Amino acid sequence: MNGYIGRLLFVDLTTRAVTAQELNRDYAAQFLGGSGLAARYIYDWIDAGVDPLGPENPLVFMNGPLDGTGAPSSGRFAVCARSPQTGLWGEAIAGNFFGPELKFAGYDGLVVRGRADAWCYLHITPDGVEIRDADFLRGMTTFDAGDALRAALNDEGLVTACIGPAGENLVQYALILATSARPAAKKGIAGRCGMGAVMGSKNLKAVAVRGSKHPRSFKVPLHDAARFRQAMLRAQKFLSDDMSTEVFRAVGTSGTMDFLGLLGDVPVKYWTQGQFDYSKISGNLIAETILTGRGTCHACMVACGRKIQKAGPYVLPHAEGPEYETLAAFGSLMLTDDINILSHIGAQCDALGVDSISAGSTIAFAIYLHDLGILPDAAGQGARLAWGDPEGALALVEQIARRQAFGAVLAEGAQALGARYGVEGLAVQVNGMEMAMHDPRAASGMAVSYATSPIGASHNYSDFFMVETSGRPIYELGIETVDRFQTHDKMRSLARHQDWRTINNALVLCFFPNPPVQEMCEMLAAATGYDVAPENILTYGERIWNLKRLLNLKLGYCARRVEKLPELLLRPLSEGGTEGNVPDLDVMLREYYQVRGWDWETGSPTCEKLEELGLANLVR
Amino acid sequence: MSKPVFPSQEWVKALEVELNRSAAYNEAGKNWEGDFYFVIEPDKDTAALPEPVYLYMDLWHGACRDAYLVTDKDAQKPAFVMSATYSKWKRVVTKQLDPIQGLMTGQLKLKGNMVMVMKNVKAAQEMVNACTRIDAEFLS
Repeated sequence: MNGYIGRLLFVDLTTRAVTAQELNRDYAAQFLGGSGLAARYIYDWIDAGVDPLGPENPLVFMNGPLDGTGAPSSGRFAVCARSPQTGLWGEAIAGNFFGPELKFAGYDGLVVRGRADAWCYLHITPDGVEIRDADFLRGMTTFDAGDALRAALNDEGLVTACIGPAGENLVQYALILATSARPAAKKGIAGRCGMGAVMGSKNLKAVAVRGSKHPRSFKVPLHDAARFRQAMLRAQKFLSDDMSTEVFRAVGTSGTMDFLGLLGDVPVKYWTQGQFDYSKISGNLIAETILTGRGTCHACMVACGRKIQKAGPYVLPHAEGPEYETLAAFGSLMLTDDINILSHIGAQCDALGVDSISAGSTIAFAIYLHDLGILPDAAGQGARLAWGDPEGALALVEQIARRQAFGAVLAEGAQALGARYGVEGLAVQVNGMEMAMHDPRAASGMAVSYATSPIGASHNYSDFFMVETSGRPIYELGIETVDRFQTHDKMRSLARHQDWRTINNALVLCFFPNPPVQEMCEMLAAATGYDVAPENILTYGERIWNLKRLLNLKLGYCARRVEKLPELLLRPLSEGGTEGNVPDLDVMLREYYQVRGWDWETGSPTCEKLEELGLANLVR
Repeated sequence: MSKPVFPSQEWVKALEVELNRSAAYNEAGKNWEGDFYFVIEPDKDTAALPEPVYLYMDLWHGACRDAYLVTDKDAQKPAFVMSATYSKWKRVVTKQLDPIQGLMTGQLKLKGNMVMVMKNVKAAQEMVNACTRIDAEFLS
């Protein structure tokens, strides 16, 4: 089965059954891989009655058909399940080396069901799969658990995906972290949607994989190896010459902080102010002061990862520095401008296994409510809730991870915190997911992106703000340059961009930056034999996007109730780069539904749309 | 008096004047150190610009110390070389394409310290604002 190994690994932790099953070729041909393929399988397996933290909720790790082929930017993997944070479809996409390693071990994906009766980990090699006792890993950080496994198994080549204390304690937004022992490896964070909590609910502490450099390593078969190589070489040439490769390599994702801040994209003081000295929390400052190296994922030419050994008085034990989102969530959002402690806080979030966006947002919301007098001092149980107090925020991160004191409240997220005080509408979230650090008042299309994202207010479904603020059109796909404040005639570009990113998440390709569309299609066609070209590639994305919408409807999604902007984002800012703009979500959303071919009242794709995409059988 | 043509000696000299009298640029660029070659390359499908044009600008702490049309491109070794096709540069100087945006999307190419450029976005913005104040003619 070209492009794939052709097998999924099924592990039932309740019965301890381990089986390999043949990959469904029809599913793969329609939904490619990654979160697209995972969604198709999970659609068959779950309904609204499945408890996200129960044994019936399958946790799926899935590769894509370009994983392990050497295609640039292709070494990622998807983790998918019903999200405990939102109750809806959950997916998190991560890098490092885990995805290709699983493929070299002989599997296109791993499906974990059930619940072990004691903490365990999985050890996966081409020789076999074992469920092993993980009591010795309990309480360890994500990083330490990975290192401990490599030591215990005497295998420095092992790649691990671990949860930290937050996942063990079922924090709603617990993450899964992939690490390897390679010195320049970048951490791989499956951060959003609480996939770490799902893993923790199964008493599964880690998945440890060894596939590469093994006597029985699997090799990814290619339909047309010569054609694949030619396309791959062209893609590599493009990326090596592309300026955005150089930008992200030099300054990381947070190097865009100054630019995006000028445009008002970076939220300040819990979305209520428009100006901040972004230069103090920028990747440019990191590059000039504390950066000691760069980290990279499998087959990546960019190396956007920031390696930081020491940030002021703080030693980062695994030298993993912060990304843009972390710096904004704990920085400008809370009025903290100390890059050293922010780097330390980011490292602690990763180590303890909490998603920094949700953690930072929830803490900032608590500070906001306290500042308004809505959250009384006593409710904080001694927590320090003040703007510009990073030590207080750090202490809360640790409490959240261990569900201690006020951290136990914050571990349920911002929406729950707001509901506790009757001000749920003030929480900046959609569907229970705290909004990513890109203000839709700076780029109006993001309002619709957040509102319609299948997982909640993530910035990756899609990162349309990069089209709106950075002017990165993709003309071959009909994604045009748009004015960032424009309301009308933008939704066709947005929908296509969402479909494009959905394909990225199915393949599983990094967003920073992409090979050109032509080369990406050539590589996919040459790897798999699929009839894929720029003219038809978006159909795959549209099909997967609509599948995820169907799945959410099956799980109880009610579009007209939830597709709204949070109250704070309906208020214009009097200063800063948003220039007083407030997106007109209603106008844009109605246009979006027309473009999508969806029914406004039900939120569902129409019958005609489902027939067109070959999905009608799912709802009959 | 005829309008300065972009790109030309007259145009870059007009930009030097605009930058030095702009309080906004003086403030935004106060930390900037480094001289530039701005290279305007021909577009493939037009004959508007038959050969690359090099404009030199010596930018230092919020001022422009010198600016001229380069006749010998080997004469200087500037700290930064920013290049793009004529059509892209026209969009930059008419404020249709932000230069940082242009870098991030690969429409402009840069040789030089990327960190310095990425952190001086306000200076880049004010420089573009200065360009828009020049009543220029364009080749196409």
